[in-house]
Amino acid sequence: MKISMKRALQLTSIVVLFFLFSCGETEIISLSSESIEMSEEYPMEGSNTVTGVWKVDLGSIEINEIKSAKVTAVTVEMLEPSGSDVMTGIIMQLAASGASMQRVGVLNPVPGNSKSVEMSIADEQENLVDLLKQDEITFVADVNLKSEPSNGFSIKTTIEFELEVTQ
Amino acid sequence: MKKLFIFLLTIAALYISEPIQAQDAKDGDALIGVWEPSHGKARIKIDKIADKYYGRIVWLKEPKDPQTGEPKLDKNNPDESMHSAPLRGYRMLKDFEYQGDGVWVEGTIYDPENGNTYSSEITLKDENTLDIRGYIGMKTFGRSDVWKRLKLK
Repeated sequence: MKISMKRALQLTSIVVLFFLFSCGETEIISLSSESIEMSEEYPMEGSNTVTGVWKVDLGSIEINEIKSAKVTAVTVEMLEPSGSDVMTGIIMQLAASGASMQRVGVLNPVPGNSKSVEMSIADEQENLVDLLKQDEITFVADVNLKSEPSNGFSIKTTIEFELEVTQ
Repeated sequence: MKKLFIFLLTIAALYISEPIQAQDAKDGDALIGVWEPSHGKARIKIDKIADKYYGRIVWLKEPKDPQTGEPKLDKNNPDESMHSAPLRGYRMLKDFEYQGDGVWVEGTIYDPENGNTYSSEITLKDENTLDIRGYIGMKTFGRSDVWKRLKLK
């Protein structure tokens, strides 16, 4: 009985040591996209989609070093019209030709009379590392409009990521 | 002489493959438009983003929740943070890639009535009719529906 306990302890120690060595050290790094302009020349009352392309720039981070990624903030700045009153709801997604679409934020209802709004962030986020591996990510905003804006509809979106990076 | 032959062959291959690719993209775009499922409770607009096809709900027969009187929300989504998302404008078809011969594959379809997401394949029966199949795991064990194009071509 004593021998088996000793063996069990040895095995546990080996597993723990292996786990610690294999994990390596990680660091949390924040990454912010550029502000991407998304516009629709002829928006309609009701459901509309506006898109914009972000040419992915990870700065000095190597994609292979990214262990996990999540979106921590989505900020939408109103350009045309200048106030958020025109929107009733907005959903933000990320898409790319080499990865699955990921929904990252929602705001419904939209606070009125604001120049810029912060979206609620999706709890379930998958495939973000796959998305960041792409050269380009398309920001896709599905927007419900109260009425038809006379001079088009235009917003600027900035997305902040939190990356877990191996050192 | 041999080098010239290879060069000419390469040029010919490029000339042939480019129009085929362009034609494929054009054929794939046959899916773009507004479609109505057989139950007639919603209309879905399919568009193309980053070379793939996506569909969102643009019209609901009953847009308001009878219990609250407010616009319907995605309250059955397994991700609770998304329960406030409006159903109108919701992307229920995602990531379809054109395979050729009127078939789009590798996509998913979301059923807002139960919050489930299924693997999915779309087949264009004719230019105004499509067959959409949702399944889990194997295609054999699934369910199909026929959707009609709203504005007939």
